[in-house]
Amino acid sequence: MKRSGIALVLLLAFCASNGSGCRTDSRAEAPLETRDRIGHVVAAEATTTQDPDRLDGVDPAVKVAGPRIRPGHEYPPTLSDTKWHRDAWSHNDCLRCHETGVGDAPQLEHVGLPSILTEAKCRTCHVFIPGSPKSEREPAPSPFEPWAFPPMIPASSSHVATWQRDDCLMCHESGLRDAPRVVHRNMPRLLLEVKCRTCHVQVRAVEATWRSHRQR
Amino acid sequence: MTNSRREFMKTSAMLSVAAFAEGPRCMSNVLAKSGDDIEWVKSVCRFCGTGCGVILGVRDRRLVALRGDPKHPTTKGLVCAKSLFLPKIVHAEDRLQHPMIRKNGELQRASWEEAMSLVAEKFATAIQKHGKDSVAYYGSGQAMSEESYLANRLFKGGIGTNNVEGNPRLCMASAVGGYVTTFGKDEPMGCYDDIEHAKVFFLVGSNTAECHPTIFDQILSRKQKNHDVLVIVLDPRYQPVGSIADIYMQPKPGMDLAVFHAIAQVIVKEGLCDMEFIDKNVQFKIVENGKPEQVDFATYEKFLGDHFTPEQAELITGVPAQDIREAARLIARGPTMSLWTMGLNQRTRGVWANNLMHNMHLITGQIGKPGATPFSLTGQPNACGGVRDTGSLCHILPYGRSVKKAKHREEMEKLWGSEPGTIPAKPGLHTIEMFRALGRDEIQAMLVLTTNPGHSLPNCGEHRDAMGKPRPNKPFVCVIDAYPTRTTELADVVLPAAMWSEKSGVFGMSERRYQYHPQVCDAPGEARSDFDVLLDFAKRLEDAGVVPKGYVSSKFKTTDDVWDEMREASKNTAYDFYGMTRARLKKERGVRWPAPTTDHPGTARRFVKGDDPCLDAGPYADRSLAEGDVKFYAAPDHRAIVWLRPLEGPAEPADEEYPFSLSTGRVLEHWHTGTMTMRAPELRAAYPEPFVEIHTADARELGIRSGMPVRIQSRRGEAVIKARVVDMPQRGTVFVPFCWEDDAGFINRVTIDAYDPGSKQPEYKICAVQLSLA
Repeated sequence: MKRSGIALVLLLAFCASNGSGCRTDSRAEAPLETRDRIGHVVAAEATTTQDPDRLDGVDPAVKVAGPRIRPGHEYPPTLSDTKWHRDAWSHNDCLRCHETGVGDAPQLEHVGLPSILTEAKCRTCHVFIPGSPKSEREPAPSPFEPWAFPPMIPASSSHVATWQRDDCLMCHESGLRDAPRVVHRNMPRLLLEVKCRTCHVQVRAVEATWRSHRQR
Repeated sequence: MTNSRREFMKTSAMLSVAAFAEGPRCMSNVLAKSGDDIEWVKSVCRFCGTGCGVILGVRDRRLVALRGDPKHPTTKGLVCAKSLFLPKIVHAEDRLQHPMIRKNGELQRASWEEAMSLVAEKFATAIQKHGKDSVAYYGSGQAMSEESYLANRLFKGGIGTNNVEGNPRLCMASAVGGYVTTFGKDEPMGCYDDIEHAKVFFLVGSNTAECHPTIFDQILSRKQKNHDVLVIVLDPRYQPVGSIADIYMQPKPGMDLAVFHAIAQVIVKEGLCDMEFIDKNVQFKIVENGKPEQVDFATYEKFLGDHFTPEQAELITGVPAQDIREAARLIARGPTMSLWTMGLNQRTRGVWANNLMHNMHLITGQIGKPGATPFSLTGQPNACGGVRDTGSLCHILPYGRSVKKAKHREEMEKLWGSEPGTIPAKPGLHTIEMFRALGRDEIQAMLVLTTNPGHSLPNCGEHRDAMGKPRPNKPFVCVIDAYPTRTTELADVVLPAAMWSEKSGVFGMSERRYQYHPQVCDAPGEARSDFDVLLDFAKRLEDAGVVPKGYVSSKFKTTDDVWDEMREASKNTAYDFYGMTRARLKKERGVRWPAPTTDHPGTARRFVKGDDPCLDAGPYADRSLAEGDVKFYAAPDHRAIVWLRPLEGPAEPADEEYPFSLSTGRVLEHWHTGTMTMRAPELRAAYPEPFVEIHTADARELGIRSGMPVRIQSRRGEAVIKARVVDMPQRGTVFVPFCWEDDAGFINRVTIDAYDPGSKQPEYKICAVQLSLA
């Protein structure tokens, strides 16, 4: 309270000393020499030109409801310099790991983002920084073993139309278009002959609230 | 990391005590940490011409966060990394805060009064001693519309010179030339809604994935959800759009005109034309002995058949004939949306290339229907609304008017209150010739606003000398900018500018949408908006007697006043946006012109009855049309023109002495000369230094490996840049982004300033260079 009082006295003294008064309406008659908001001398003509909404704060007409941003989350995380990140360009390149958890990749958690953003290519928002080290993050606590569930199928265009086993093997057996090659060890033969979707669940869309199977 | 309940209680208690002891200041810090006190304000991004709707997070008059605006009608929440880092860019530590005057070769701090007096005196003296055409204005597609309009008004209608130019000459002029020569008026007829309807995307000379990321994302999303959506790419360099391409055609640099003609030849030969549309809406022309002559469809068919079969085009361009055939069939099937940028525009035959792009849409009727449109993408946030539409180039006047037409000059003189005959009938100097005239000391005073020609001009060494080389009678150059740049270092006076979020005004983006951006924070130090500086400058020129008394000072106090005059100027033109009042723009998320009345919702597709209000009332009205009919009302005889253009290559093709062809461009994380994006640490770290892409086979022959410094030398200058050996450029070509400002990597010392004879746009995309290990 004491501080506020001193500040008020100082403010009044400042306004009185520069002779301009504490006007907020800059279009009012201005003296030949006046000062701007931060106390610098400016020409009288200059002060008469400012928009009325400039001194009065933001026009209510342009205010909108926005997201709640946690401190420290104002900017999207950057991408570390790993082989996978270096080569990743399309959305699918990233989701292959970050949607499914393959290779211990941190699984994405885009809570509250519009779906159009989560469908866009990731580098639209996330900047790849050459030379930046992989962050050491603790894996999310899970009551399950990491290998307990089969990896999910990313929601990308190349996966949407695949149904038959051959559709999948076309890429995942040959490595075509950089698809990860399938290695199924010690599995019953019957399982290896059925369609892949019997075990692997397709992510239909990268929903904002989607979280990994390991975290459930 | 989770706190225990005990730790939480302990912390809360400590904060409460601290808040009580320290009063409101500390309390606000506590609130700030919670993230709840951010005020969100709708605005528009200030980078490329996509015009992404954003919401700005503001706390204590500072920009603290930015997000895409999910309610924005076209970008729907999409936003790219450059935009997300704008808060760091706006509040960068090295913002210019005080005016500076060069004294004894050094820029020294000065007061506004001292700086503005000097600027006005230099301009007034030049006008009085050397005439009105001895002064010039070089503006920007990043200034607000009101600022560009005011500068144009001051120079053309106040001083009486047409030496008004802007950096859109470097990026958009050929697109303007293409639209005007084909359809009679500038600006696209389609809109972003067409992305949601197109089944074929034809991307030409556009690194959409990196330079218009949110447009690319919308195309990507459409393709992922619809398996009958196909993407065709035509670009000499293989680039990230290839990740979604169904057909990728890589022509030799500068030879794509042959590909366009060959596509048209297949369409004509295979009977894929829309003859009904052609009969109603199209005419054919060829230039003979310097004059356009009307020809018929049969002549066009013969022209194509004689010179441009797919096989002939394959020989000329290297693009497989089969790819051309497949592309032609898909384009004719449609609905086809063509998108292009600098690869087509920055060429000595950029206007012709634009014409041939339009030809394909006209002969197939792929225009004026949902998903079918030729759509030029723009590189700056306000090149369209601010410079093209306001007529802030040397040959045009606001809203489709020309300086050459007496009626148009009279209209503007009347509206501006200029003496009749003030606006010269002769166009002023276009950008390249303007800077050459500066170098010859013919221009004695130049005002550069919100742009960085000391870095961005081609053959930049020569033009930097023009701006800054000490000499007797050296012209006076005043630069207004927010940051120190390669141009401010050449200036005689530097004025600190307020940035986008520090002033309020209107941006007009690629799809004719005008959007309001509000001021949400204060400019640092003594920085002032360009608008304030222009008003001050105008008043001083009035006082000096070189501009009529009260010409500007008695009319405008705020940007709102200017906006009202702009609306008036657009009335009864093809651009009519009289219905976009300031209050409306503040409330809505932009409106697409024409929008002649306050209740008009804006126009998605021009030239279409039922959509374009110009066909309902005003000088272009036609009541005989049925809903959905197309009428190119601004074209001669109301018919768009299919041009029979000959094949012409680049001004400086590769040769024995300079065996490689250089192309320049951008990367995803940096924008233009990097003035802004290099100030966000994350973006800078993404690409801290430039690179030159060299094809693997060429690199092997030259003994170059990735990371080695390579000297790139042209007939004009050289740069030393680290190699990136990659099969993205084709053999015999190299690619360098131009965003870095250090001397060694300054690629615009190497590029050529040869320009298109029609649009006067320089050929950044092609020049001949030598490569050697540095």
